[in-house]
Amino acid sequence: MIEFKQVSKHFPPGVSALSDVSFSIERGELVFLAGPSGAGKSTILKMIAAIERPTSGQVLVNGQDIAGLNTAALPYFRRNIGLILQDHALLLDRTILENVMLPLLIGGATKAEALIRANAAIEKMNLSDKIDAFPLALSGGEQQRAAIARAIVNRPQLILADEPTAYLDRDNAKKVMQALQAFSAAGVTCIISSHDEEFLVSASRVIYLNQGKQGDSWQSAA
Amino acid sequence: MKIWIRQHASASLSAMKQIISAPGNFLFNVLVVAVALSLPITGLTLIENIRPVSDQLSIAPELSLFLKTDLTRTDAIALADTIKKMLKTAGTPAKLVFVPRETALTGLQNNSGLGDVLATLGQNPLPDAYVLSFEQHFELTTQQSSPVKIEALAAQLQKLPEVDHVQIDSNWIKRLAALMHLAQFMLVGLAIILSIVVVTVIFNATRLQVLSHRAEIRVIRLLGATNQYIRRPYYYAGALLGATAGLTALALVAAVLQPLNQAILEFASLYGSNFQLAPLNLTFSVYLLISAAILGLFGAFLSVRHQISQLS
Repeated sequence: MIEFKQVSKHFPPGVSALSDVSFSIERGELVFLAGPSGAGKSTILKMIAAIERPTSGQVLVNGQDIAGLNTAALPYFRRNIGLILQDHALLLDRTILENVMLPLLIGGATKAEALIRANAAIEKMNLSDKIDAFPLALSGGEQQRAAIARAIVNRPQLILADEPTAYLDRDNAKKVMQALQAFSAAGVTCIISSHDEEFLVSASRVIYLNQGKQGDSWQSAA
Repeated sequence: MKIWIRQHASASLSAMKQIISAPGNFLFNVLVVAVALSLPITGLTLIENIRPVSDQLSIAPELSLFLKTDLTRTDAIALADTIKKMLKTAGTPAKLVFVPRETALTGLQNNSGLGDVLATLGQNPLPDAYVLSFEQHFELTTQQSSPVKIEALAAQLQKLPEVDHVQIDSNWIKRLAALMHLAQFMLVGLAIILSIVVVTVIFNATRLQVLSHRAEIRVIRLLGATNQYIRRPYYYAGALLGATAGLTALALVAAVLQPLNQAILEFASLYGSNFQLAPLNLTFSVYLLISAAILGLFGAFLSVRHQISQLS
């Protein structure tokens, strides 16, 4: 489903974020990108979402080279990806329901259809009692679960989560991870960047990175 | 198609929400644009009110013959027969009135307010004159010139050795027509300049809106929003700003006409007229509103294209 072929990324002035990284991820895998801050985990996620382009090498998503995506094709490509960012990126002037409905409305769904599916996604994240609340009225864990609800509402084939537990306490972090594992079990490919060692054991695979270079990978026997 | 309509409806709703979220900014921008629009609208209102008056202006054309100052009174009076013959030959019947230099001076002293100045001259500087009032009335539109016959007669009269100068007294109508043309030309120039001002104001207002929604644009772009989806609410907001400002400008001009009409009525009543300035008619007003909305849309279009490309 996803293939990195000798991918390097340099930012001016001469900062190397990734160097000669190659791996492939199959459909339904739960993969962790592990490593310290600045290792290149976020850069890999941004490349899969076509937010960044490689300086050299190839990034293929479903056989499509992201370097070949033009401005017109990019939005449609992103609609198949559920993106969960470290800062949750919820719109603060909209309620949780409105935030979760947003990807559906962007995709052209009717308001009634968006309402039904958003409610279902929010319920799945146990946030039904917060549906009309604004993001700042929610705890960090609730905000992140709302972000997951928004990421899954479009039923994406791929979920990219960038440090989803970074600012959460243990309990909330566990809930978020359990949700992501459940999606993976349902056949959704999940790629999660994290430096939280506790959760790595739940992965089907861990790709280690350090200063933009690929280290050894660990693969679950299952 | 349904999706397209739905997204346009959603964009217009989003534009309304943007406006409601910052009503102060919107009202301020409406006022600035309305003031800019009200100037050409005022000019247009004035021209549209004056045009029917000038178009229907009908006068009995007159020729004034100023005789040479060294001509004796007897020779001056005797010239009447020559003039009558020439009128008959030209086929332009007219009433001929002799105006002695003394009468002309008295009239000038009484009507010009220069009585004291004229008294210091010692002798009468004015010549004897004839005034020819033609029986034929004709319309003097802004395009029409004096009849050729009268102009030809004036040229013949000018050749008489006793005549110093011939003046066609309908020339002021031509000047009025030229003035109207000039006013229209200046109005077009003013409209173009102020349209640029309007586009610039809306460009800047939209730029500030886009900048204040940078974070939101970043997020919805990551969620798969197309550029069109992102731009549409700003287009609607720009068009709405333009149309609201146009409506406000029309209301401002109509409000200004009220006190102005009182002053005009007082002045016109001295000439037995009840002339008053009327606001622009409905068709014109609708055209102006559409034009204002298009200007708003254009300003927003330029701004959003520029800003969004910078954000990406």
